[in-house]
Amino acid sequence: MSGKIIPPGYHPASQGEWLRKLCQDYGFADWRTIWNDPKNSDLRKLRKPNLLQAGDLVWIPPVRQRPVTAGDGAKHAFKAKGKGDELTIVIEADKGKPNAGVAYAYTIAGVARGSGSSGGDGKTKSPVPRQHDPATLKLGKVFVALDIGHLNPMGDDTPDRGVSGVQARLNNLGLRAGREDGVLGPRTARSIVLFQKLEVIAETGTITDDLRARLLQRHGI
Amino acid sequence: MSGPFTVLSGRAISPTSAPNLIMVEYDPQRSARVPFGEKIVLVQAVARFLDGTPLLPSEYYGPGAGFDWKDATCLTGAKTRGMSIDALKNETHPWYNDSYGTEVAGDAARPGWTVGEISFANLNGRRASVAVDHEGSHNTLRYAPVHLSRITDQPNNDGGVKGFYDKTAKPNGWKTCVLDFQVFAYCSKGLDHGIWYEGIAWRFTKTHDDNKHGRPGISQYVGELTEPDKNVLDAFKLFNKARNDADGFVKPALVP
Repeated sequence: MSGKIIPPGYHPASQGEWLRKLCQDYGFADWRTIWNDPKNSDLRKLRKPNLLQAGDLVWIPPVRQRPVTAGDGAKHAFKAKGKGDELTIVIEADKGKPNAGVAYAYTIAGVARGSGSSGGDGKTKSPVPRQHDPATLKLGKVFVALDIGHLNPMGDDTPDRGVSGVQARLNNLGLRAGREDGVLGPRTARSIVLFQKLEVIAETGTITDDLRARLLQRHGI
Repeated sequence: MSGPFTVLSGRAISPTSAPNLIMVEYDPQRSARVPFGEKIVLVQAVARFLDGTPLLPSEYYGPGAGFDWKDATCLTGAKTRGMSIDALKNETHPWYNDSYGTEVAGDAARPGWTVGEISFANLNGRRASVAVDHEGSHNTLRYAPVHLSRITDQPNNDGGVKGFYDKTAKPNGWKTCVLDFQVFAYCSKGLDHGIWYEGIAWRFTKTHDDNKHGRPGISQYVGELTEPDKNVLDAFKLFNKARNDADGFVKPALVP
């Protein structure tokens, strides 16, 4: 039984997409099949598989659809191969200090997912299903809407030179960088200065390699 | 009241509270100004009017009655005479401290001020962009409690040296005493140090009739204020000058 072959081609990544999601969308069992394709070598140098930039071109190799026979009038269960995605969020009380024991509950696509109390390291975890919108995280009495997969890279090679990625991380760290619009305006600059002050690095109000490195370290991605 | 302040007075505080008692509370999470502050204190300005006439403290209480020191911190304009930052004699900072803040119960070193430290709790109802895990990565979200700043006040007024009007005993006494208060949130530490946030106005009124019948007067909320006017800022500078510029500088305007 031979299935239809979906022809290869470049997929322009949209906001909110990451490798494993593309892998599921195109019917691959393992995301590495896409990621490790030689035609994605440039992409691998610039990005992480969980951190694509909208507009990135991802080479999708050919994939053979596998037909299966299933009778009418019955339910048929199909299990996808491979481990599903997980989302880990560390809850921080103060600079570098985990907020342990915070009651948390993830609701993703209307279904209750990971819940419990943040551990001693402040970690909370939830599985991420293929359909992951909308998503919320309840922390104590606070509700936060999560845009899963929307975190942008901070690289200088992105269309906004990493501004929206920096803004998102600063916001997540509570430093009020404003809208994640990719514009380095006065509020974002002020937020950067505050972060630089807290990190005891040069207070430039601009995006520097040192800033990126510290944000990566403090935010965790 | 939809801004960051909650103001309660008299029996709205408790069924047994006197009508001249007032409580003012500032919640930075409800602020439209988005403070980049680590500490947000409350500064209270006060102006006293006796039958509509503004007076210096020494004029109201009388020379040598223990309030002469306060004159040095008061404005002296025709309409602003006596207006000053509300503070006690030995206080070195212009902010209105008391022990009712929710910072840390019993922490004498940090009484009564708001830690408006930016916190993930401030982002309640907002959105966070996150990425799924890869090779041990994680996202970090700030979620720390935000504390409120709260002051209480209970003006007590007997008409000063002149006293309240009484037909036989004090025919030249005051008919009405009004104290106009303005309370502003002010950043005393952090990136916004020196920046003013929102404010409110409240008023204490006591009449000779109140005095005659043993009533303490009444404290009432007046309205929201967007920023301190020149008079409040002048009083603030004057206070700081009198107290060796403990916190007298003013930074550039708030980021929109």
